[in-house]
Amino acid sequence: MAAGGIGIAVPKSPLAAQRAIIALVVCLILWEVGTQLHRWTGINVPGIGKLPSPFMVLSAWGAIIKDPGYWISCGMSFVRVLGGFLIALVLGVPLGLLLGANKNFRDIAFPVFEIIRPIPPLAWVPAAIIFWPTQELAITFITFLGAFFTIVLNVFAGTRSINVRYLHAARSLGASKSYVFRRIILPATIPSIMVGASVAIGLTWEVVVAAEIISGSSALGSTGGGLGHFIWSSYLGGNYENILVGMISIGIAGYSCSALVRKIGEYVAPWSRKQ
Amino acid sequence: MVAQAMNTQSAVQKDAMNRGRIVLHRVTKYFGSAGSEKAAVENCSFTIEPGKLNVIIGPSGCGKSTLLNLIAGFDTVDAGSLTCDGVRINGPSSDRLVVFQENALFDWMTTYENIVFGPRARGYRSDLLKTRANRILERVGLSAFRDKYPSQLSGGMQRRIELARAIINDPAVMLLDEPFRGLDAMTKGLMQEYFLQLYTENPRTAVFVTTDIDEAILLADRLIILSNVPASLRQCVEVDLQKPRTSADLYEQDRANNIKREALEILYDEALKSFQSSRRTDSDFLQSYSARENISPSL
Repeated sequence: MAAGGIGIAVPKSPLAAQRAIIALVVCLILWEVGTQLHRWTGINVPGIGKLPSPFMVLSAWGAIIKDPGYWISCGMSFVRVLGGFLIALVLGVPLGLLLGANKNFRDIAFPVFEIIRPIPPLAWVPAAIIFWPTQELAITFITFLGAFFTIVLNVFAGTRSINVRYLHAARSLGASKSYVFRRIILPATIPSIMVGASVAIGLTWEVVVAAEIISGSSALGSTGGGLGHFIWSSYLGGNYENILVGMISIGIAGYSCSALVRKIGEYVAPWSRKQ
Repeated sequence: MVAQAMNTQSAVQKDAMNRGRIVLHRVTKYFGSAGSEKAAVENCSFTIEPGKLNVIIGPSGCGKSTLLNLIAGFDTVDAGSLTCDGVRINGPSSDRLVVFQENALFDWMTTYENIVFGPRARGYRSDLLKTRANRILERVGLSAFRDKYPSQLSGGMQRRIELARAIINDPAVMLLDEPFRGLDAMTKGLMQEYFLQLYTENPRTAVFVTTDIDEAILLADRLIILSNVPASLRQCVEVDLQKPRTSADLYEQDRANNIKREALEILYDEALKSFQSSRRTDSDFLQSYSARENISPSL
């Protein structure tokens, strides 16, 4: 079902793996050609023509992986993503369940939730910097916001879409309210929780980088660190290869995190695995 | 309950044959918001006889499922009275178990977990339960699929698990809401045979809702024919055909054909009424019934 439905990113068969590799190679070739075309023919491809070539990026990467600063940046971003994501999960799942299960609570809390939800996490940056005592907490808070609303909405939708036949069947078989919650509502919602989680962890990577760039370049001085900071300082220092190294690092990190969450989803909801 | 069922099977069965007299007296149920409400069931009175297989048949959309939900206790009556063994029905009970129209197996539980859900929910955890569940699994031919999830099984297997999930609770009354709807003809035939066997081994009060007249006559001890919406009793027919029955030899008997003709005339009549008030579901129904061989279109 849901958790398995978006599990397409990790190739499952040799053929799919072949296709994935071919697609990646084609992308690299197009990139290479795009950057070299100016030198070969004098035609300047807009945008891509100004980029360093994949070969240059790769060699820059080879150089920088020996630099502990790069790994510290990766680590800092990862800790922020994980922190924000886990807090969002711990607070968001119960809130989503409560919104779904209790009508009174829903009537009170949902309108407030729906007004706060459309505010983009990045619009919170100035408020968060003022609000939280340290920059670290502010960035983690922004990351948390990125994941929180997605998780709550998915869990809420999950509880609302539980087939009423399940509830009838369980009640008719003599299950108490708390038994129905533990054995019906909770497991029936797990696929939605996992979908929310895998989308949310992707969002936290988007948000953490932006938060790092903004807060790092703020008037408070750039002490933030992280991959966002890494990209921004590479830009300021004119090191275009490293900008791309940072970008691709984020892509790989986000992909790995989403894939991991999906794997966990398959483990906790084995019934929704593709047969 | 499980222990009893194991030890004093025959006593329990005798008991089961006498339990579950359900009396509907001028039952009325409305749907829709106040002001624009419509009756789904109106002044409906009949009796579900204990120990018998009572089949309710009526035009599709006539309120059969509403009626069954009322008997199950998922819904409450707006007027009239509804009692089971003299006690007013005011909520679901594991004494009146429902086997649903479409599969309501829990996706996140294996075959075995689904079957023992009822006893476990009521606090039974014994080895006896395990033995009994395994025996029922064997009985419905699904021992090999004990640890599979419903999504890994065919439609026919899923229906068998549903039957097993209900039977293990040894309910006084079994309520079956078109349990074989949506199965292909072959599987449906097999499931009917299967159900009859299970029912003969575990006789009890049963209410079986269907729109299929052949299914109704194959299974029924009593046939309760309902009117078009709002549902009320049109006629009650004793199906006094000998058992065991098979669909193959059923219609070589004059009695069976007579019952069928009688039932179809009433059903056709009801369907025609709603056809004239131009409801879509009923025009479909009319089409399906007038296509049958022993009813003439001039009726």
